[in-house]
Amino acid sequence: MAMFVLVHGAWSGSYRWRKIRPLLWSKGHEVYTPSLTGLGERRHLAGPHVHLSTHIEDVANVFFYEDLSGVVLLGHSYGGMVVTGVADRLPERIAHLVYLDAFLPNDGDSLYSLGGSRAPQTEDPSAGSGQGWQVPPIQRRFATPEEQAWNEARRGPQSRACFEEPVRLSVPLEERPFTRTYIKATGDPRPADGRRSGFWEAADRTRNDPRWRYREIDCGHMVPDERPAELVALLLELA
Amino acid sequence: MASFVLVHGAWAGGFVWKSVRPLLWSAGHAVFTPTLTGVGERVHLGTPETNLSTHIEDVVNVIEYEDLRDLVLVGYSYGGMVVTGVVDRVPDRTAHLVYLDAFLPNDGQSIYDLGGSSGAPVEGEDWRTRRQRPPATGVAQAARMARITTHPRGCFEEKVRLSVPLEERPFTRTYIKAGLGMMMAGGQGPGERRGHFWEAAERTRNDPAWRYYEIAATHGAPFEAPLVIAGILRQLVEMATPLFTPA
Repeated sequence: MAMFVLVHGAWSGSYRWRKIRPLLWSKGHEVYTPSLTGLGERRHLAGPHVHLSTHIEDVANVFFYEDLSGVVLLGHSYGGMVVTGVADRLPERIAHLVYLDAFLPNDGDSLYSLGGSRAPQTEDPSAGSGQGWQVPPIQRRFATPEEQAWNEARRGPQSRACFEEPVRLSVPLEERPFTRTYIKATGDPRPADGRRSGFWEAADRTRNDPRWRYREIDCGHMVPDERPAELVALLLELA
Repeated sequence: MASFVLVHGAWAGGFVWKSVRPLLWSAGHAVFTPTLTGVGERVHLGTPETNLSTHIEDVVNVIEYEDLRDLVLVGYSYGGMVVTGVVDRVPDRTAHLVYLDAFLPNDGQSIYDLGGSSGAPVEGEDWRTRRQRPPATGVAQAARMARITTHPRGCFEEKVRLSVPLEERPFTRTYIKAGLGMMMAGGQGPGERRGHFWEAAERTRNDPAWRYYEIAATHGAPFEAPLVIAGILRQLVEMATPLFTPA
């Protein structure tokens, strides 16, 4: 039996894992999918005070209160920023660190410095409205109109401070005893217009590095929705 | 497959269900054990504004974001206050409402109105309360003690609102009393059938609108009797006729 902690991405929530959880539960594994403060079911707790540090604390606390060790810790998309911070705080509780089409920061990187959330330098549409502390969600595509509507009803803005705050790594990830895996969703092509893609940069960094395991899934960025069974099979193989 | 939402008590967190969850997962059910804002793993999010409404919102949002229907909603101890407020907001999504040695308020009652423990104020932070007595049970006591956090006072002061009495709703109602008494609130010891949880037991035991069970555990029931609790919860959704006849 393995222990999974799955961390969702920006503008999302615990519900991102709704297709994944039962597949792991039914095989006897424990799964924790905390919603990050201010997002999803925790939207009523949003505010300008919510930072990346808040989210790192959200997840690190789950480890302590649930007394988890030997964990497979996975971050999807923005969740990569969060799990990086958690892994630096609780390296001894993590057996496998997994990035799923996620940001892979070095010490001092923020999501914005990695080119995430698209164009922080352009004018913010909500500037001057008093709502400038939050960033509206990027549009994502889902397989059916029903799934699109279901997800759009749940997506909401996220505190800018989550994207601005740099993560701190006291020791490079590669020097830790846990295994490291990067999973790239290859259905999203590299940007042709010269824009940065943090996910492709991370794939290039890890693909030929022997300290990393590198895998690909041929679908779009919303892997937990598009390919739940394939993702679970991959996680069980890694664990 | 059914969905269970289990709500913990005061000064605690979702971890109180650690032994119950796998017994439901392994039977193919989905289980959600949200930690309420300002306690347990969410202790870093508490503020002087955190109150019972915050906790009701915490749980309603889980139900709505996860799109749960026909759910079994369980409140343990202080969690009874929370689920009472939740079920008034989402009555049509609830199939079974269960109180486990829990507060069972009427419209307009707070936990203080029901004689619940107020906790001790935290010095310099009057909005937070500290649990006054240790957990009654010796089971994993050290690990439990390490996880007791403060609890925002506003949760105990705010009164719950019920637009319709619970008994007029179409879901089933169950009260599970921990029959070995309760060591920490109101000075009760084992065998003393006094205090709010016994009052709730009296109210529900002979009411045909309720199913009533008495189990051999103290107030630390989720730690002491996970198999019995999971058994009662499972038969609500898995069996047309109860296997264990209510007392």
